Amino acid sequence: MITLLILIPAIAALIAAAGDNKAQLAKRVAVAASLVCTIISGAMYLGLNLDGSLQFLEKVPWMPQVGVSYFVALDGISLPFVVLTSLLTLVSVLASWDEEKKSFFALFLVMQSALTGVFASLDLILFFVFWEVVLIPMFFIIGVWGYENRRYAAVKFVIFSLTGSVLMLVGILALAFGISSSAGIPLTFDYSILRDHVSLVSSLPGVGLMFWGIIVAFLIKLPAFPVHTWLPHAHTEAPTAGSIMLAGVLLKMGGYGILRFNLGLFPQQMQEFQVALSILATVGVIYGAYCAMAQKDLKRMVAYSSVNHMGYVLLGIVSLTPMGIHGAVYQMVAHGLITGLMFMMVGFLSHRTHTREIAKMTGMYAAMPVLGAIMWAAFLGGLGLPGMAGFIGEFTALSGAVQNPVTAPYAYISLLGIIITAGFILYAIQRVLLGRAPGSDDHAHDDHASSSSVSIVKHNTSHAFHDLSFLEIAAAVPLLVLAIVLGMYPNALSPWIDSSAQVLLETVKVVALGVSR
Amino acid sequence: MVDLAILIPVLPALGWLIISIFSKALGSKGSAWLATTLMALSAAIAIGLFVEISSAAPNWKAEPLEKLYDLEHHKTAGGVDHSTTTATAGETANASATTEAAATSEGETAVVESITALTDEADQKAELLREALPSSNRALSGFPFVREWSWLSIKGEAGLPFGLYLDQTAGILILMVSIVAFLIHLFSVGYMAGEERYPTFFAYINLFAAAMLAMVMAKNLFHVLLFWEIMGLMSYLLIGFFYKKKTAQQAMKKAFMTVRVGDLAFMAGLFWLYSSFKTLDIPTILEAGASGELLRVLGVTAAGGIGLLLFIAAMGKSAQFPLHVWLADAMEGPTPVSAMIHAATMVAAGVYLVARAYPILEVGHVLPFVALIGGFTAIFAASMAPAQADAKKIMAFSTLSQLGYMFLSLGAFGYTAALFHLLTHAFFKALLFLGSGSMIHGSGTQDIFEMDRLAKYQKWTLGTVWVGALSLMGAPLFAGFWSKDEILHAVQNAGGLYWILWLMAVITAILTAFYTTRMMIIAFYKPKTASPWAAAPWNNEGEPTLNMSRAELEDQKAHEHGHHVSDHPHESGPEMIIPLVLLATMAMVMGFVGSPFANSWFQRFVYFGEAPELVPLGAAVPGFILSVLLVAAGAGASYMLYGGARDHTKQIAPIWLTRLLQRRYFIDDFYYHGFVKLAEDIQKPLAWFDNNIVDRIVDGFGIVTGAVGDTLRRAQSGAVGLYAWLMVVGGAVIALAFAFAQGGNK
Repeated sequence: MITLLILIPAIAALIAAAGDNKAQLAKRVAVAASLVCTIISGAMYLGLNLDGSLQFLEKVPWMPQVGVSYFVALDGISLPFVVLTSLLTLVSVLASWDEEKKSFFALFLVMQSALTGVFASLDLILFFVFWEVVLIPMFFIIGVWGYENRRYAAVKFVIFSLTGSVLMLVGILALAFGISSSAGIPLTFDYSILRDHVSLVSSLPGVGLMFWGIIVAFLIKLPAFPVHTWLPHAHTEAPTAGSIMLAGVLLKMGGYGILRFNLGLFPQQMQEFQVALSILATVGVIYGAYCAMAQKDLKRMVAYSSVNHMGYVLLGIVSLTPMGIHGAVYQMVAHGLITGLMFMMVGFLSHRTHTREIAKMTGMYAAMPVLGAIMWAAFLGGLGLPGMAGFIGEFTALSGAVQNPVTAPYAYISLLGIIITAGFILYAIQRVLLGRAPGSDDHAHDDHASSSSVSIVKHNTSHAFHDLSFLEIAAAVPLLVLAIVLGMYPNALSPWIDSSAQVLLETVKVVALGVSR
Repeated sequence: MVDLAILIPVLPALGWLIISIFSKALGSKGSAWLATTLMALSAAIAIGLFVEISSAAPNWKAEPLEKLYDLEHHKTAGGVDHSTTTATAGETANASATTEAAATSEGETAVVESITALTDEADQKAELLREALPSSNRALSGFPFVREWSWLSIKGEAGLPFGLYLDQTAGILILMVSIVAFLIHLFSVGYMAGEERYPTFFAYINLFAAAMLAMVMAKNLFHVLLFWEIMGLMSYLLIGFFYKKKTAQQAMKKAFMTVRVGDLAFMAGLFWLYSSFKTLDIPTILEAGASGELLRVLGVTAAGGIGLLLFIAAMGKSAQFPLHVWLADAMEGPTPVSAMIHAATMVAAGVYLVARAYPILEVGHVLPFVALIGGFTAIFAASMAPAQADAKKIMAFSTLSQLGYMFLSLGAFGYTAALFHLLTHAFFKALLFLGSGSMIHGSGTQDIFEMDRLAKYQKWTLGTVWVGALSLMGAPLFAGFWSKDEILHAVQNAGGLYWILWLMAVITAILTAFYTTRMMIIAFYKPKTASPWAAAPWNNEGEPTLNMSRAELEDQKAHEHGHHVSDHPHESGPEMIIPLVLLATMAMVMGFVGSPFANSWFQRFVYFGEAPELVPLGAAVPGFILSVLLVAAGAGASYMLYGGARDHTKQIAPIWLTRLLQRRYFIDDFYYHGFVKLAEDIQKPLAWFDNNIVDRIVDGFGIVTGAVGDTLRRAQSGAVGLYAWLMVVGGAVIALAFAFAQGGNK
């Protein structure tokens, strides 16, 4: 099943690349492949057994002599991201229907395939390979289809990512060798086997460095302060669909990686460095929000808000409580939906206004009611408004963090981020969406209009800006609906997350007990 | 009916959904009537549910129960003779803690059980009494009604289940909110006709009503927060309904941000509560409060901290000092509809929250602070109203002031009185706002000085608004009289330093009568004049409360040609008059449910712990006289200054005082310069820091990679080459590692 999810987009990418020049075939293949994957992964999601175990297991030896195997499986933490990957690829393709280069669509399919691999791999080398493959399509998407400064942004993105990757690889190798020699077993990169020997990890020489080596790669991707600076560039320069994937799924690789590999394999170190990580998270929350406030570029503002949102994720994870981890994963899914939608709407908007500068836009809601309304909803979701998924994520992440006395003070400080976020999002809404439509003579009016409605002349402004097309609405609606459904009924996701979070946390307890003994 | 309870919020929420999606197909009228019909259905279910709650609830202070309490007291007091026929609240308060606990949680049956533990003699008496208790006086089993579903579950934790908790407090609020909301809908059908976003408006108020109803029914404090914020969102959207106006934009943002400060405290309070008490379940908190477990688990400090945080949340929502600044500006929303949300229902959410979290506030000794803030806000807001020319702003300040009364009462242990005032206030304030809506509709202006002898043209409006005004002033027999009297009574009984607050409440009552009469006289009986402050020097300052300059205001005015003053003031149509008449009727009779004439039904129905002392008819007389005196003092002073043929535009107060009041004591300016500016000043250097320091440091941190990149960019004509090269390096590293590993394995 999982292999199918990896192969379908990969094969589709080949077909798309071989297709006609106008990309007519490519985009249809892309839609079909991502739709099929969304359906398959959705069915797997519904069929998942909520006992926290790894399911849909597939394990084939790959390089047995070095203990590398093709080992894929999914559980409640990874499966939501696989679904999100397929879904976001689908909406990204729909959102860039005007694109006429077939390679654009092929790259998205490659990325989908690789991302599915990242979330499903349970062999550390296989994970690393997929992790690296993800970079390639994203590099080209930013570098070729981006805005003015695309080259700089793309290179910066790759350099940051590769720096992390190198450190991660060293960490992975050191860990695997360390365990194999200290447990006296043949070298293996199998996550399950390594986890069976997790109690040995703490006694390995240089374990702190291994931990940091691996986590730095994830912190860069997340991104956490102070390694977040690639993000505003990449997001601002990337084409709309690229930003959707970047915010929606690529950032989640970081959070997922910390949960699966740092928490799963280094529970002891996770506790040891709790404070340091909490501080990074809190700084990310407050600092990210403040930086977002200062931006003049709408897309850059949304990008910085991701730094703020991901701070809650990190804080939730390091709280090491079921509630906190639940919140972290929930927040990641919510962020994927809501920020994906925010980028999509900002993209649609700047496509029409030919500017991303906040100060240059006004009255967009009056000019384009559908776009305005969806953008409004997405922005409100971004500030963590109840009724949308982000609120559940933020609330549970923070309430988990409060339960752990070590992280509690940081959680209370992080609350301030919520009000700063509200500040800049409301400012952006007011500047961009509200007010009279540009170029219209449409008069503002107050209540008395009801007694003088005849005198109000409605000027048609639709010729200036065309509102969302059917396809654009079709791209936005799934995200909006899911964000609201997950905001109103968390049990559609919570049990999935919780089942696996509990399993992860059991190790923490076991290891902590083992050490105290 | 309890099984249908969930429909009460779901129906209007459905209305929002349907109108949002199908507004084009439904058309304007279709959307409006769909929304109104769904709200009517919801109100009908609410009435049914209320009847069921009131028949299932224990009938406190029924005579056999009185005797039981007497007996209990007699026993614990060690034989001290107290054989009066009516036990007072003070006496029952001395009863043992177990009795109190049982009474709160399970009603009389539990009281009876605890009494069986007493001596034989008392036992026998109790047994006889228990048999004598008519079944109607006891709580039915299963009361308060609870329905619960799994919503967000975390293994090993209470999690956040979604439930309905239907006790007396919830029952009263559901009834009040659904009826008032229905009348808003009805009124709006006519009032909003011709608006550009007519269907959107109905979608908004539908969802608003749904959120409010869901909030008062929620069993878990988390869901109170959730619906509380959805309501805040609707309030934000409704304040900004005329979103093309800068004033509306500024006001909506200001409201959201100010309330958000409170919401932050709400969240922090819930985090603290959940981490130390492990649940946010309302009935559990109420029970634990009664049994003393709350105190044991939380301790005074934590309870005080949590209580304070929750009260700050309430201050934000109910616009209490110092978070009061948004409410007067919220009048930018359509009159009277969103204004009414900001008067009758939504702002009451803060009072509701404090009522729900009452045990925590009590244990944490936060109540005196609540009383202080409430009492201060009451007099503070009332002092600003006489300097206003805008009918809606006058009403807004009176709302602040009346909400202050409710908090004062809660803080003075007057739980019942506060909720009673909440109920009566909702009806008479709704009436006043809809009435001022009718006045504005008929005259085309919000400025009371510009209204031209409306009494001549608007007979129905005049009559109904007078009912509202008298009720607001607390004139005897009108609804506001009974509840305000209860509050004064509660504050008086609280003892200690509360006499200062009592005095403030009394002065507030005089001020209220003063400014209400002033508004009535000028709007209804005086010919049209220019506002006396139109040429005031500080008008050049623009609108500092909304941070708008004079130029911006004038620019907005220039675009407002809908602002047309009707040449012929006229009466509003029947679709507006009917809700007015209905509300006026309720503003007249609603007070009687808590009066001695109805044997203080309300007080026996809604209470915390135990019912307060019931005031017999005879004892109400001093309160009656006091109220008459207060109303006469305020209204008389007003008449002396403005009534008859006197020139109502004459500047009476010193000019500096008027300026101080119109500028709202400069608190808004202080916030703007103290906080908003500060936030703006911080962000720029931070962004600079991010671009020039963090970015550079990280770039420098990866100096090796960076240098390689730079070299490559020059050498290999492009980043694609760089990536390929790095991949090769990466591959080489992996290959080396494998080789190394194989070596290691041998």
